Amino acid sequence: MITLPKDALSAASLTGSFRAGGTDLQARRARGLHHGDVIELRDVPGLNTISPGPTGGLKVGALTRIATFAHHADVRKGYPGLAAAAAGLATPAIREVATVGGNLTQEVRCAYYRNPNLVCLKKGGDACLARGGDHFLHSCFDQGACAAPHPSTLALGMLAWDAQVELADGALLDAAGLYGDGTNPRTTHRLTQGQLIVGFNLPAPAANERSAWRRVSHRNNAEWPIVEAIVRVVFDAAGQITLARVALGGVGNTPLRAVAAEEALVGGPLTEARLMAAGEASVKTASPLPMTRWKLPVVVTCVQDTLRDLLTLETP
Amino acid sequence: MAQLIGESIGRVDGPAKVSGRALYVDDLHVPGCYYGATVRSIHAHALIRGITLNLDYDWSDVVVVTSVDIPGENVIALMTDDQPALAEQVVRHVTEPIALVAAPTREKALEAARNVRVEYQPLPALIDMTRSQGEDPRIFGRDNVFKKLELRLGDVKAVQGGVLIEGEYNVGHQEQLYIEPQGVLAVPREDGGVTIIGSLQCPYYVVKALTRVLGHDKLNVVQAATGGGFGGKEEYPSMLAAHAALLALRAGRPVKMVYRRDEDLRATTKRHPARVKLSTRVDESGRLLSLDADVLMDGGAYNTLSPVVISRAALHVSGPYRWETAHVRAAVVATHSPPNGAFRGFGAPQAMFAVERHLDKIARTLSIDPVELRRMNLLREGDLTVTGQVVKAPGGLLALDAALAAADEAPLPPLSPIPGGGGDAARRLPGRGVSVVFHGCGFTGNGEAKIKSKVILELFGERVRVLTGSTDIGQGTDTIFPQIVASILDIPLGWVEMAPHDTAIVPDSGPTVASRTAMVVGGVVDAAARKLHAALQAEAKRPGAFAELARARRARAPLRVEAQHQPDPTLRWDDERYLGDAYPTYAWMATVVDLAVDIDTGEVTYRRLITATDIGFALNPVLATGQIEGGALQALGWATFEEVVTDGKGLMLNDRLTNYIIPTAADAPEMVTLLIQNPYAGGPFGAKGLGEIPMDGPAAAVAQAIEAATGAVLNRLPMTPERVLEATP
Repeated sequence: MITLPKDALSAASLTGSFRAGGTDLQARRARGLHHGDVIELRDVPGLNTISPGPTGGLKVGALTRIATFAHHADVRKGYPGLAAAAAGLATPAIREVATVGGNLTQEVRCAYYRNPNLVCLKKGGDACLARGGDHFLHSCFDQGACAAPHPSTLALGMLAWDAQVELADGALLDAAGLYGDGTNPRTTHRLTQGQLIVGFNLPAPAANERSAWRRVSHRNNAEWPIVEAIVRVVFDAAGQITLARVALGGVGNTPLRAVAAEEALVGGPLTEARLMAAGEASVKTASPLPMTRWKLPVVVTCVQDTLRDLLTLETP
Repeated sequence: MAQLIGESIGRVDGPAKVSGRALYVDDLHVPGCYYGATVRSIHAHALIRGITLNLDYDWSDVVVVTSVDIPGENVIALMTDDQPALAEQVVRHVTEPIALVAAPTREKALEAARNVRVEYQPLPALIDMTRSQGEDPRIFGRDNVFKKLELRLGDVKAVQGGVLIEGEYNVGHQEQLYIEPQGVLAVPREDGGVTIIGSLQCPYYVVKALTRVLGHDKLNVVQAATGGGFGGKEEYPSMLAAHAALLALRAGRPVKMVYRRDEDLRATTKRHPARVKLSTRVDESGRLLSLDADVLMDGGAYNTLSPVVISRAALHVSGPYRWETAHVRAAVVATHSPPNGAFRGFGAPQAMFAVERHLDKIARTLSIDPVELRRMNLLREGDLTVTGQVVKAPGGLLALDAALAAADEAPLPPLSPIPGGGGDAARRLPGRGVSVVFHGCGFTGNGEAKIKSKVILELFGERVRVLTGSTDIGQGTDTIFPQIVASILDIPLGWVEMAPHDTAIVPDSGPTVASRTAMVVGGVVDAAARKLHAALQAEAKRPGAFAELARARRARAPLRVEAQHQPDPTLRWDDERYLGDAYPTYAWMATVVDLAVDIDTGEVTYRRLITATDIGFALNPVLATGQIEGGALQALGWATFEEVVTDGKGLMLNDRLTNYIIPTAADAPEMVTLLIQNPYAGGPFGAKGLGEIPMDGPAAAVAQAIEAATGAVLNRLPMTPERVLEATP
């Protein structure tokens, strides 16, 4: 059954799965991967706007289309790395339909999970089929039983800016709250029935920060990442890095921060030597699967490239 | 004569297609139509212990068909009778059809299919083609070999001098990926027969198959607007049409079956994976002395068209080169994988990827420029191919020179940015690769003589109607045939129309395959037009222009002529020993690809693709260019993107366009497409076939370009970033 609630609170009180843009849910339903009632969010008002947050920053409605988000002047000005990531993910057609909230909560793209004839851990099975099969494109930071990399690109923005999602009941979740630590193979996020994301709250950018996004993939356009990174670096007046965030996608069962890379960046200026060291450090805690060791140098390169992009940006 | 031929007139089907008026199978709405769905095997090899219905499910408006309901023979007739329409006691591959259901809605049909219970007893499965021949379990014949053949030119063993250079080359499956999935509508006829309306290439294949399944020939097959085929709709529609027809006759109402993309990807045929081992001797100057080739292909669980695919592979594994001696052994074997079948190129792309890469190895070993090595050894007038065919008017050198000149002429376009990616210019190393290929046009050997393709032309009023079983699957048949007729008869194009591709009214013009439609059937159209003019003059008992004579008889009964393909009587072919004139003629193509490889991520970015193709004569240059550019892009996908990932049972895992990736429009490089006119006397206006050759050459050129950029020697497709990185020294 499909219900069309008129506001977020009543939507959250219903039983079923939320449908926003539907680019993932419909595909899964068509394959028999998802059954049951659908709560269509089409008529819920007020969730597709981008407005200033109470303490600076932006409140992004969960139903905001990816394309709208990517091209919004305030997003591009304050969070250029995230804007670029949004503008580069999926295809133009999908970006026009898919939503910010949906991007954060979509399901993994693992071929074993997506195959309706196979029962993997995420579908109640007792083993990760990718581990025993083809996992060339899977995680190289082995967090838990499910080897599928997390699919959300915008989730990297949560890590880079300490953003939070706001639920219909007013609760706020950061990335750890939304995704956990990757040890639970059954779910791609930790939301339970009735927990509806209504907003994506981005704190104000720092006075002197730069950010960038890069993706390595099998096809130059419209393709899932082998590895992707959003980096954000905050400088003091002397050009010293006071805060760094290196967020990695395509490498683990949750979006991941490369903390060692961040530590390698803080405390000095952004130089070629520093960014090279940060890149090397980004895989310090990696734990590749038998087929994913090849990804490690790609992660290193991707982080270095993304950091190098910051050198060419003008100081904001 | 009207200057129609050789002009790029617009496609006659273009306006309907771009405006959405063209009706594809799923656009056809018939009152009371049911929708069909298929119950498929989940095992690669198993005994069927029982098929039961879930009694808790509401079957009141569902029709179910299993093998016991087949009125005729349970076989999809093609080359051999090994493939059943529905599995009976044994399943031999995952996704093999076992039962069919039809219901008032597609959703109900899919749901009903899930409520058909099949009890299996799994049996050991054989998936690895290298362990099939002569091994257990037996799938086909005594030794699991669908077809084995051998051809010899001279005595390879007698050549002992020179440098021995050996190599092994592997290519995987490729999906045809027509934009419109397989689909058929079956409509019961009042006489107890059935009309099939389908997305298909070869309506008479379907007639042949259904006649056996239904046990009668009260049927006609109509081609609907077809959204691409590339070989994938050559033989598979016979299976789908049989299923829809069985359901429709059982239900007593129309039944539509249109596969979803994932089902289409999992269940239908693909390009044959191949392993090619080459052992060659060359002298120190690079002259090719001997070729010893061993080609192995995976046919999957049923024969389909595999014997002809392996034949074409064997005939093209020499490449367009002069070998002094050759010994080619080729075999296609059975495995418990979904059957492989026809795909643009039909065995030649696999073989020529191997030989082109091998020439690169020879060049590397002897420190010779790979382009010069090719130039030195390309077949020239009077040379012998490996079947002993005397080469006439070869176009290899013409194509190579034209492509290289174009490459030197214009500066490379700037390296396009990758959204969110691409290392700095210093790290994206440029590479250029060159390949040369040839492709036999039309059927092999005596094939065309056996088929006896027919075309009928009808004059009624001032209109000429072309009746042919050759279909337009996007390549432009429905445009160029009227172009040929109008040009021969010197009448306006608007006078000529194509009859619907309905076997109730059109003759069998042979299948729409093998780069033969324009060249062979176009030739029959040409002959029919001349015959119609002659008949008109005979009727009028005076010579005269066709238009004038046609106007003068406007009110009379239609005038109808039939023409049949007349094979070149000078061609000789020994099908036992594979000797002689393998093809009436060959198309030739040179490719120059420029790309950049990010040496730290392995990502490949295409910059420019130059092709120069000897197609004899371009009947419609824009359509010819479109065929070549589309085919070349399909080849680039095979080169670097497309990989069918299977589980241990042969089941395709990446069965969506989100993970089976093909090039997007944004990934297409700048293309420079040169058409070389080198007329072939046996084709209409000198035209040769061109449908398949663009698939043959680009992958090897890409491999050479990646090697030039990085030093990575890749002999396996696709050349994904991880493989590029692994192979980079």
